[in-house]
Amino acid sequence: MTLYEEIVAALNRDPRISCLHGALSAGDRSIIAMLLDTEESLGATVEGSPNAQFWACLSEHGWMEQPDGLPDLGSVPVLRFRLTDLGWRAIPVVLDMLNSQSAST
Amino acid sequence: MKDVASYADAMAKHRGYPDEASAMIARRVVFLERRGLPGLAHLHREVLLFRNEPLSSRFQLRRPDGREGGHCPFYAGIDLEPSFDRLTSCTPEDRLWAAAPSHSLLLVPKLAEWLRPTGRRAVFWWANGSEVPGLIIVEGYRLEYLSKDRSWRAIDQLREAQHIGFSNCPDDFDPRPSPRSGFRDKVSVQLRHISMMQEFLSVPL
Repeated sequence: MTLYEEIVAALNRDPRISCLHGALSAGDRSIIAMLLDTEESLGATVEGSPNAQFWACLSEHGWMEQPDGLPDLGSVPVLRFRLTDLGWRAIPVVLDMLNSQSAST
Repeated sequence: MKDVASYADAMAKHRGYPDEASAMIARRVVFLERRGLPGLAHLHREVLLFRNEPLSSRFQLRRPDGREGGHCPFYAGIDLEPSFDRLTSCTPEDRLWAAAPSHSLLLVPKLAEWLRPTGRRAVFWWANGSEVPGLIIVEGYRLEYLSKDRSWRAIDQLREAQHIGFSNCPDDFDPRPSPRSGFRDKVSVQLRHISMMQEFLSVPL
């Protein structure tokens, strides 16, 4: 099974991906696009935010992860996510499919 | 980075590319420069070396002297796009070859753009005669440059490559690929870029 086929299967199996992506604002969506253009691919978001929910869902599929050992920012409940090696290849495909779905509806 | 984009855009416009094409060319140059590859220098040589040849002629695979290749790398990318699937599906041992446009490095971002929605990873090769001095492993947003002698000589040879090759990059490809993305957060215009620009813009086309 190719990576592309795995992604199609994951999107069909887990409708949360599409729903959570649909709940993101344009600003939220721009963050993950920026992560794809930096070597560290490290993003921070507030716990419970639309991006936190979307990224947590992507993490369940192995496309993102929450790195250990980063300093706490105090009282603000900040979550950090990073693309995995698989995510580097998978997420552009996922976003392309989700954006195509959004455009056609 | 904005300076690099502005210089690339200005060079392309001065050469006669339409505004939309110039913006696309600038994006590709920035893509290469951020990944440590000399996109602006290759664009400069491209627009300087062929400044007297009409763009309509540069878009032709067959050159005025009858040989094939050495044509516009941006147009070559558009021309090859319908074949990328076939070109990048073969094994590294059976890589497929095509006549190289001039400064073929400038074609690599087009391949990366095509690969993005496929989730695939490909190897871009180049050859002068029977020698294959280097390769670039390309993903959607990441790439890795590898050469036989671990120097930048192979990138220099890419400027005048006669053929470019394409193949799939399997996960067990040796050497194991570790492509990187945008590892230069800040690329500013350097003195050599400024002199390039002044030299190029000083002569009207």
